[in-house]
Amino acid sequence: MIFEEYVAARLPALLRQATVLAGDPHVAEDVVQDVLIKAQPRWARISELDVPDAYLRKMIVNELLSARRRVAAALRRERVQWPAPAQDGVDVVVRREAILQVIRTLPVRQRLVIALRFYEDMTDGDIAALLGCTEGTVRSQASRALAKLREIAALQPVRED
Amino acid sequence: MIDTDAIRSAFAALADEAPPSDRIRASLTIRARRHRQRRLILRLAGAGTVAAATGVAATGVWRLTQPPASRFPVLHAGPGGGWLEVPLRFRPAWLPRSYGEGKRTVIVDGTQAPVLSRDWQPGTANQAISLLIGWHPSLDPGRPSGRPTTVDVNGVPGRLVQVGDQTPGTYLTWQPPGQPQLLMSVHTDDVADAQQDLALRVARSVRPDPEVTWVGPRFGWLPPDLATVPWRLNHGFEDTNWTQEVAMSGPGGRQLLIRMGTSAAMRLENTFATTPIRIREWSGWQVPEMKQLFLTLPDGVEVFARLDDGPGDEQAMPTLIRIIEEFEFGPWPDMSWIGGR
Repeated sequence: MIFEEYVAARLPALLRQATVLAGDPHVAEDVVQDVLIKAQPRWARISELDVPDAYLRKMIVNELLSARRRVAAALRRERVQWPAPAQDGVDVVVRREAILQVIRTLPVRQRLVIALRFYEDMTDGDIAALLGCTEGTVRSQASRALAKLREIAALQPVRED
Repeated sequence: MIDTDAIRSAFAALADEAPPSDRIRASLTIRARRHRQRRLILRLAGAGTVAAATGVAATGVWRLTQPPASRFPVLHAGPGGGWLEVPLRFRPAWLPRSYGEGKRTVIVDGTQAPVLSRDWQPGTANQAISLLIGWHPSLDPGRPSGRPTTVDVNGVPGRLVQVGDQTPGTYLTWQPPGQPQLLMSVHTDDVADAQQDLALRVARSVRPDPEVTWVGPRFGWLPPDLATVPWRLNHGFEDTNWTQEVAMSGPGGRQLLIRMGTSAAMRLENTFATTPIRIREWSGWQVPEMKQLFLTLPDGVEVFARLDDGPGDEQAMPTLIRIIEEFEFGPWPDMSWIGGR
């Protein structure tokens, strides 16, 4: 598959994935474009891989973890108003928005971990390999992220079912 | 009560906010064109293939009037030094606000360095002002062409050429008496007129620079078709990582690239390499079908090397391995100049 065919077929999925990982569609747009521009010259080699999607996901993660992006994300977090704690019986949509608001403002690594765990259904081992850290680090990042969800949105402990 | 379904639902809602792919594809075309043009000038300046594309949408006026947006890392690469001292010769005394030096390139021909190129950029943005000092016949194919305008650069006639359409580039060539040729190139998001004004202002501010840089790496062995061709040494950075790149092209067009540094991109490439290999005391990976080597040196510096097949050398992998076996990395470069003006 040539580069243009891949982009035509997979760009919507890449954008959804990047939006989830970035917590922000504008950042996702920027990151995906950067990644594709970087990938294009190496496409002959990337396309020979069994899973070019995984390669690009790794590039997206690396880009999100870059120092430049982290600074920008930190600035965004400072500007965001934290949501008021949700009350019992609150509407599902409102609760989801509250969760989303917290997800958007998580530090990048914490958001990546829970996005990969809950949206991509990846195991902690796979997440660790992708992020270049230990499984213990993945678990601790996930724990912190979930604690923040509980703390900020006044949510009850996550049920791991 | 919240459970994993609630979190998944939130992420699904977040995914639904993804921007439309049609719009991205359209802007991707423009950014890719800008990236290619940037690579073109980097090749002209001898910087090879390390351009990082991180476009920043901003007009020139906006950029010139805003607080500095540049972010340059503080890099602790090495002590610098090497076997060939290269005078920097010139630098601009004026640059747009937020611009800092991000890249240096030297063309090495035998034991001489006839060309030096320096790039200033706003952080890692895909814009740059470059000063190419000297010339070499290997650069002739990339010489900017177009209808020239004669301008005055501090009493010396200069040749101003504007190229491109949607993403223009400006080239200004002049030669002070008794000095090598200077080529100023400007690739910014500005419109053509603003680029030309910028090129002229920066060129007119160019002053002697007494500082030096060094060529540290050296080849111990090269195949016959590459043994006598000039090569390029490039120093730069990506994110918080320093990079040093050696590149050359043989007469038949085959290319050798050796990239060193602490780049995350190198670690990424390593992830997908295939067969283990050990060269001298270094462990790493090779991808024979791609003629690529990935090594991690004892001090943590990572090395990526690639060699095309050449005439009479259809099995380039053993050739590449021997090149690396006998390659002298030299002292790692002093990168303390990154971000300076």
